[in-house]
Order: sequence, then C-alpha cells, then structure tokens
Amino acid sequence: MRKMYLLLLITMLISCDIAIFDEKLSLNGENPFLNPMEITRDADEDDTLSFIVLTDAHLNREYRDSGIHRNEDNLFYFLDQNKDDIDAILLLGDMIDDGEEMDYERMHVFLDDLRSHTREDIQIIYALGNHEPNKGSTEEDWEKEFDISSMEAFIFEDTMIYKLNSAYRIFGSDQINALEYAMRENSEKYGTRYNFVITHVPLGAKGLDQSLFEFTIADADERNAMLKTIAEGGSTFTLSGHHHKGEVLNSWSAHHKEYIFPAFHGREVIGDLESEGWYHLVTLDQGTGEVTIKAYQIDSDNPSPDDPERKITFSI
Amino acid sequence: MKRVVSYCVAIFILLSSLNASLMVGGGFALRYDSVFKDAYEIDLHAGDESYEVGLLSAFDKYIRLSGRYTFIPNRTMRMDLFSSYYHAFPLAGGTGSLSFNIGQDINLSGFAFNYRIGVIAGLNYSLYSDELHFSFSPNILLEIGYAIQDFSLLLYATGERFYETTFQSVPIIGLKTEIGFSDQRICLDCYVKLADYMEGPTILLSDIAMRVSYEVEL
Repeated sequence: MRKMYLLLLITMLISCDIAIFDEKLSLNGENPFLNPMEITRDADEDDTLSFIVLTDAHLNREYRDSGIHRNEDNLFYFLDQNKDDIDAILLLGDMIDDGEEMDYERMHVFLDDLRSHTREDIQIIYALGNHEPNKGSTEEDWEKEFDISSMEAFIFEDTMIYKLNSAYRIFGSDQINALEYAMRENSEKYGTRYNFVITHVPLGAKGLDQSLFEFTIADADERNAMLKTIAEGGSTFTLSGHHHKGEVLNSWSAHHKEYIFPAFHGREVIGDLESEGWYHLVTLDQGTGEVTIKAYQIDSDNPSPDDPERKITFSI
Repeated sequence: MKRVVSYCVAIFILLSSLNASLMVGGGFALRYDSVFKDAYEIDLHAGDESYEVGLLSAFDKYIRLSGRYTFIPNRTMRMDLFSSYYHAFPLAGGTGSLSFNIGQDINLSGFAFNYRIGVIAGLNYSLYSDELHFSFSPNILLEIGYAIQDFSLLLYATGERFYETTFQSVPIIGLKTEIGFSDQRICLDCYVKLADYMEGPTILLSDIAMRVSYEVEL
C-alpha cells in the first residue's frame, strides 16, 4: 500500500508541466512601459478624464453556472446616452470565463458592442485576468487573439496608465523593476502628474474580511515591492478587480489609493459574498487630482450619470 | 545588524547554560524567487524538542527572527506556538506573525506521518504605506515519508510557510532529509512555492530554494 501511494505521487509529479515564474513574467531586457501609446481626444475638452470601468464579466460562465446573472442592455443604454463624455474604457480582467474559442468569440462580440454604443475608435484597455489564460489557453494566445500585450502603458494628457500582468497572482521582479523605471522616466519625459495602475489582482486589503486575503497578491514581499514602486512613482490610483464582491477602497497613502471594483456579473450566493453586478464611471480631475467613482447596478433601468447607486470621491 | 547578531549569540550562550542537551546549528540556503531573484541565506538556530530560536539573514535583502515553543503532552502529540519577525530592507516592509498549531508525529515501523493544523495571524507593513495589512487564516502542514533512528526522508506540503514569515497563501511543497550521527545532524531541505491560479496543466513556481544545515549537541 505504501509503495502504491509513493508510485501515485511520483506519477502525479512527473505528469505535471512545471514552469518557473520567469518563463511567464520575464521581459528579456525590454521595458513594455516605455514609449506609451497616446490616447487623444478633442482639444476643447476640460481637464477631467472619464472612463467606463468593468471587471469580471466572465462572459459565457452562464453556460457552466446557472446562478450567473448579467444585464448588458442597461450598460449599453448608459453608453448610448453618454458616449460623448466617455474618453476610454478600462476592462480589469476576467472578461471571459475560460480561454476557449467560444469565449474569445463572445469577447469579440462584446468589444464590438462597446464600440458600437460609444465610438468606433474609442480606446479600450483590456487587462489580463487569471481566467483569460485558462483551460488550455495561454497568455500568448490571448495576446494574439486581441492584438494586445499583457503589460502596456498609455499616456492620456496629464495621466499615465500602466496595465500590469497579475494573472498568476505575482508580478515578478522584472515587471516591478520595469514599472519603477518607467514611472520615473515617463514622468520626466512627458511631464505627467498622475498614474492609473490597472491590475486584475488587487495589491492588498485591509480589515478583517479574510475573503479578501485570498484574492489579493499572495506574497507580502511582492505587495511591498509594488507599494514602494508606486509611492516613488507619484500620485497614483490603482484599479483592481478579481474579488467579485469588491467595493473596497485601500488608502495606501495620501497619494496612492486603490479601489477593488465589484464584478460586472451578478450572482446570488449565501452570505453576500458575490457581486450584484456593477459597472462604473470613473473620472479624474487633472486640475485637482480628485477621483470620483460612480457605481451603477446592472438591473437599474434608464441609468443616469447624475444618479448612481453609489459614489465615492477621494484625492490622489 | 551587528547588535542583532550579538543579542542572538548571547541568547544562545544563555540557553546552553540552562539546557544540558542544547542543539545549535547553522545553515546556508540558495533561493530563486520572484521578487529578489537570487538570494543567499545564512541562518543560526538553537534549541531542542521543546523550543528553538533562530536568526536568518539574506544579507542586504532580508532578515528574520523566530522563536518556537513546543508542548509535548505525550509520545505523538505536539502543540507549537511560533512567532516570527521578518523585514526586507530594499522593500522597506515586513511581517510579524504568530501561529498556533496542534498535531502529531506518528511513526509506524519507519513510516512517518506528521501533521499540524492551526491558525496563523500576521501583520504586514510597508514604510511606503499608511495601512497595515492584517491577515488571519487556518494553516496546515503535512509530512509523509520514512524515518528511522538517525535518518528521515520526508515529503511535505503546507498551505502557509509554516516556519517562515512572508505570509503568503499559496502552497509550498518540499523534500527534506536529516541524517544524524552521534551528537550531530545534517539536514537538507529543498522546497518550491507555487504561484497561484493555475487552472491549466502548468504549475508555475514563484520560489525555489535549497537549504543545508548542520547541528551539533552542546
């Protein structure tokens, strides 16, 4: 019996495909956060940037989980009514449930819908979540499918937007060092004053809700390395998802705030541990550094920007 | 750093004067991890079956102080209280943790099965943040293998790093062997830490380490 257990264990170990972190997170000497892509808008716009923020849509999960509830029509109605005021769309990851072909197809339809209800050339920044490289798909498959990279930088007037890869719940030293260098260089080169950092997995969470503990960056050293990098990088708002219930504001410092956004899909579960389904309008006043997050519940008919279910305001 | 080492040496001397069967030891480890890349550790520790104090240093990268007290109510039962403090210099942050675990060390004609179940609480801090990050979670350690008089070979897995401090919530799997002769012992411990969220067939490792240590009874 003991020999059988040992044999079973060895068989399990040798049948696994094992990779070391730098096979997925090595940058091979390149820095993806330099030479940011520029986002433009009409010259007569005011100082305020406006973003639609979605996370954890898990498109097609309804085929595997009957408890999922999603209502895209109210989001599209909102976009139709406010398309001129939306500068870009931020997708914080886990927009699909598995990396299968039907999920990629579904995501392309969703992206087309977002563009048709705003502008054809609207910038959509799509971050890698842990579900995108899932069930046989890979990060490379996802990048090729949507013609994007898991780590990118954008410059939008006075604001830099850094999209990070946290799909494996770690960042890796290459990515952290690249971000640190880029934050310093880009700020000097372009004179930007604010940073948005987009990461699917949150940096951390305060308080006694230990469900958050399991849904944030796993290693305290990784978290501290990122907090130091961001603190030295200037005024920063970190946008994250992954937790689903979310609705957590981390005030890391006077000039660094993180908000864990709730999931776009709703799901009823005992214990109020899941989201009711939300989308958000996030604005940054580049004159004052004030960030406003307005939350809209997916089942609210005729949503108006002036009538959100929830509103949070803070400065960075 | 010099003061810390001096205090530890003083503690070791004090313990050796109190305990006739004190084991003191030191070790060297190589680590390759996702934050520090290459890290070289040295450690000093002293204790016996009931307690142990330790100092681990990776030079300019991080340092860890730890203490363990084990209550042995009978031949197999064990109750551990473990405390540690860890600080990473370039990251300007660290963790203090306290854990309590209960379990057994079982040996059936050489087949060894050790387990601990408990809770661990820790406070992560960063000098670049105003917020502390408190974590509290259950913890489990399983060791299975072969152990006879002066030799053991154990495969282990833990949901947290049981006797370490960086307080992560991902599995660590290791293989360790101990060889004892007269009043000395050599230990070799190799472990890997898994990065999280591998839904596909690939297991991603975020940390690999190998530690060699030598202990002698004073």
